[in-house]
Amino acid sequence: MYQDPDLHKLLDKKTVVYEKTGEKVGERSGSLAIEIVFQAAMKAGVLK
Amino acid sequence: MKKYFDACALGNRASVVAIVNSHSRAECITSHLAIGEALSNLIVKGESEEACKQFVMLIHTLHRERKLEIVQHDDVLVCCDTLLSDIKERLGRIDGTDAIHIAMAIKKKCNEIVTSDQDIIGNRGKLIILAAENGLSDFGVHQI
Repeated sequence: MYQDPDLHKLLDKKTVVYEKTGEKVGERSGSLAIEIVFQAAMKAGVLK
Repeated sequence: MKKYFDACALGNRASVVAIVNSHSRAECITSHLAIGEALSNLIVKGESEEACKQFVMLIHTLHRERKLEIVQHDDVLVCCDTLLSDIKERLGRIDGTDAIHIAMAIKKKCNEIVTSDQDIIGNRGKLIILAAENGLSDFGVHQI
């Protein structure tokens, strides 16, 4: 999975498990959801 | 610091990182037009369906998590036709889409327009003057 060093303010990762697609499995943790979609977008070549 | 992100900015890693790291939705603004343009660019450039889907998910998540405000253009197109005309007249080499982005940034009282569009960047000086005349003394163009 792509790791972006600039995403320094991603907050708690305390909670729930997400699928790599970003589908929620349990209760949402916003920062983690953002990280997942950001990484997926990088991997898909959406962000240059 | 309030920033307007045009279509170029929505496809740029550093810009999206800035949105992610913002403190609230009020700091980062984009528009119906910018999102439509960015998605259309992916399609026209032949990017995969997965890439298009990931772009939509990214924007959706940034909005849902209160990192990004999405505004529509009614105010600019209906109420600010004078501003649009001014932009087109004074910036010369600028297309209608870019003029709308600039008008949106000014209308929404943004401090910066974030873009890689050379037509906007090349008119930085004129834009700063135009924004000042419309009540924005600290307006700038952030080149990505």
